[in-house]
Amino acid sequence: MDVSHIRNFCIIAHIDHGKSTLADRLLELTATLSPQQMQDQVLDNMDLERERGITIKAHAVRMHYRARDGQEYVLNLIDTPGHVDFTYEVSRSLAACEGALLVVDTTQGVEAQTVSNLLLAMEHDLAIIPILNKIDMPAAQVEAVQRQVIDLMGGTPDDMLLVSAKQGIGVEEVLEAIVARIPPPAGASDSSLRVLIFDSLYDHYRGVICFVRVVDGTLRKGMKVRFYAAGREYEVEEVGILRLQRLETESLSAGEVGYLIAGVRVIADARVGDTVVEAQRAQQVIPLPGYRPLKPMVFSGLYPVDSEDYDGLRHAMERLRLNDAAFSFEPETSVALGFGFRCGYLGLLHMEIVQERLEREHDVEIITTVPNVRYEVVKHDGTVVEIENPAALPPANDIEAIREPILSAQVLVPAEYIGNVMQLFNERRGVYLNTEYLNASRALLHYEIPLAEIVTDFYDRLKSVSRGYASFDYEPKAMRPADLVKLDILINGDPMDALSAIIHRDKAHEWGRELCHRLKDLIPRQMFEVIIQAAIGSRVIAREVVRAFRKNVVAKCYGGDITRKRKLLSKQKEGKKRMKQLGKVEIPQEAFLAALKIET
Amino acid sequence: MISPAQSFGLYVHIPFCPQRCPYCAFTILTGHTALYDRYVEAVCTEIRSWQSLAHKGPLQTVFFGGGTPSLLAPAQVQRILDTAAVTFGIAPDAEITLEANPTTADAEKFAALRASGCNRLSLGVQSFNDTDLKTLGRWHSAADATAAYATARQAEFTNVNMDVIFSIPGAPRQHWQATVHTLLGLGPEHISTYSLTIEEGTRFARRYHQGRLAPVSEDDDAWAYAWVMETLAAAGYEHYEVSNFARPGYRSHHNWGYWHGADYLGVGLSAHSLLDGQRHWNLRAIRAYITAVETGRAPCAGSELLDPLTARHEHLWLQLRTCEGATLQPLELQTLLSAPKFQAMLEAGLVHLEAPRLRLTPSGFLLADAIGVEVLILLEGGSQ
Repeated sequence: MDVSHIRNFCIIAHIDHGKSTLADRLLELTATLSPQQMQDQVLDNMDLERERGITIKAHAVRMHYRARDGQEYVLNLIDTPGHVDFTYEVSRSLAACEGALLVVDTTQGVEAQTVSNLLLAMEHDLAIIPILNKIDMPAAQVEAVQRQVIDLMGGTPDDMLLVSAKQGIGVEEVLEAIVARIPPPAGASDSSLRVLIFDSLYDHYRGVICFVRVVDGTLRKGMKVRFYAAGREYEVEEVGILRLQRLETESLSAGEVGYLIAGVRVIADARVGDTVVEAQRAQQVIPLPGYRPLKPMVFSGLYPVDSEDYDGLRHAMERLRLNDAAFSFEPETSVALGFGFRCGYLGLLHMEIVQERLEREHDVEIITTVPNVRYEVVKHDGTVVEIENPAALPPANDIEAIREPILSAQVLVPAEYIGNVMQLFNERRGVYLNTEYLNASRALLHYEIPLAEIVTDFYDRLKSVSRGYASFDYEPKAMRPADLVKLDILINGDPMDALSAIIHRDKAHEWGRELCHRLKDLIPRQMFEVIIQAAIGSRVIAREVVRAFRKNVVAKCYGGDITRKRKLLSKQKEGKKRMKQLGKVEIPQEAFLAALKIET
Repeated sequence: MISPAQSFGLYVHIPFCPQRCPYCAFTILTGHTALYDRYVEAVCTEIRSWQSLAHKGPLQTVFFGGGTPSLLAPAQVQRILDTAAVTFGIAPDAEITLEANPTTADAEKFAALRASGCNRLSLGVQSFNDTDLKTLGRWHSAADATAAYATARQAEFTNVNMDVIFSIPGAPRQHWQATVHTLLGLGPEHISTYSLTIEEGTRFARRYHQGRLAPVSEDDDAWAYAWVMETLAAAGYEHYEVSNFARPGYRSHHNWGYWHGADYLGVGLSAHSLLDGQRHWNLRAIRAYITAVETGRAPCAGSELLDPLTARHEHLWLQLRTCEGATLQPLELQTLLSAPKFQAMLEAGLVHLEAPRLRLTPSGFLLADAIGVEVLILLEGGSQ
């Protein structure tokens, strides 16, 4: 394969800006798939992705294109995940490319996420081709968006392609620009093997399938290779290229994109970002830069609704983890919820996706506890413990300080909503850094904000205060001490551990009051009184009471009433069985979700 | 008291009423006077069709319920009783109850009913307050009810029940107290007290959904029930079931059978039967019922056979609603005793355990449904 005729590229776009539609058109024009095979948005092949309009797991596809210069080129489109939680995965996909298509919806303009992914692409020295999409729409503001793009990355309007992926307008120009403006891969097929894993998935029959870019050397079937970071060696069973299916080849040489199967049964041995090298020369080879193991940032308890589903839930999680190295779980027990798991996620979207997949694809009903972040607790004796569950917090008088993760955050917002957004960040303990104006009407605000402040309902609030126009992106910055306390919820004096939260002292009262109030509305009246309290240590800061039944008896129960009455009792019985028993009272499952919806 | 195992009862449903009360959700018919004879004939035919049950006879109890059975002519009641006597036999000391409305009381009629064999009269008094009677949409006055009671006594009914309703929307507590005091002044052998419930499909329900009818608060409802339990007990009435009070020796044998698993045959529109553990119920539409019977088909609309565990549990909560409570089997007792929730119920004084018998206390009667559900959940948990 002549390296000079290869182009490796990806598409950077905000959700709904038209990435998938553009990808479809490229595949169509290069006859990578016949019209009969054409299925809209082929790159998003999970139901969930399609519904959410985002691509969660990266794939790649090879296209053949005869350019106007008469030469035939191989174009590898490497898909990138589209959300802040997957920044690291995005960066590995970018590392496998020499160029990127920056797709901006001309009816929407540049978004915060586009900015951060663009900056990421620029850091990787990618050639960037700006594409203004949806130019056929009446609401398209081509000139305004051109100015935004120039403000961001320089250049002139002439550098930008005007496209309507949906109508097929300008798509051929995109292919020509890929050939003309994106450089061919560097790297030599005869040097020592270095292969970047930019994605992987687990196949039930073949084990882990790695999606790879050969940076140097040639990857051959039968070769003995080492996964550098994991330190494990395997024999290559199969290599090949990616059309819409896998297509086996003898080898993959420098610059090529394809897949690698080596009988790896554990996805952790073939982590995204790792370098595959030849086993016998492993000592002499310097691995590719940029690998870091993924560490979960957000945690929550997951419990089966029906305790008999515990094993089913564990199996489902194991299966999910095969495909998702960033998802972690370990068993935990809750007084209120029984046996379950403490799970770790990259972020909130990742958490939602995992929960939805468990419920939908694996058919288990689950209860989720309030998500929390990882804290570092510095004890008086100088030791530091990491806490992923509020219930595990050491006793208050052992604690010297609690450190929490702080994010560096960017919000892109129309000028008229700056005030609202600033107020929201203030409420959420945000620290203002500065504002960049991309143009007179759009500003990029820079903040530092504790991760804990965005794990509940922040996105919804941001969207609502900006009428949907603000977009948000972040990366982890540091661990910093804060005045944090543990807030417990007590039911008739017993702590309901699943509702414990670590929270800033200034917000504890409001949180406690609001949560007690919500619980009062959600807990039905029953045989015994339910006293709900919020407490910091032994100090009660809020209290509500659900009164006991005064009377609960149907008067008439004669011959004709008995069957009806039995059915009624049986219905009440089933309702009560779905509740969690806490002492002599029952708590409905919705109560555990109450805290997810609290605004502070 | 006859042991329920030997008891065999007959329930006869008479669906006719002078008019529909706005709180009533029963299967009843107004007008249709032209159908009375045909209906009575159909009921007799249905009774005869159960000839196969003759071995269960003689009947220990017969109950004419409704509707307003006293709308029938005494001869029609007589005809039904004669048919039952021929088919199953009626024990000489059988309890034969007929529900009557105060407006249908005249001396001659009551005397004739007494002569036909009826020996227990149940009067639907509902209230002794005329304002409350108006709220309830009743077409009789308090004075009518007092007069009907006197008429029943004159007709030599020595076992009279009076039905009264509490928690009538808008009625102050004093109305209920006055009604009960009037009742005690009359001194019937048996009193049934019912908390007014707003049933879907009634005019009360419609007014309630439109915001034109405010139900009594749960606190007031609980007070009325607790107060009447206390007052009737002090007056010498035995509280023998959630809604039923009787002077010693005057419990309703027929109803007692319902709560203790006795066999009973229900005939007429929508009537339910329990025969050898199998329950069935009749059609609810008058034409369909009559046509079925007249063409020799069973007027049955549905049936159920409970599995032994469900049957046992049904038995337990029905018995729990009575003064004698439920007799627990050793495993059931063990399961309950080991449950913290049950201990909490004992501590709170809601139930009283004299092993192996479990009974509701007066405060337990206030929560009989919640306690029933709880006990069944604990037992189901223990039987898994």
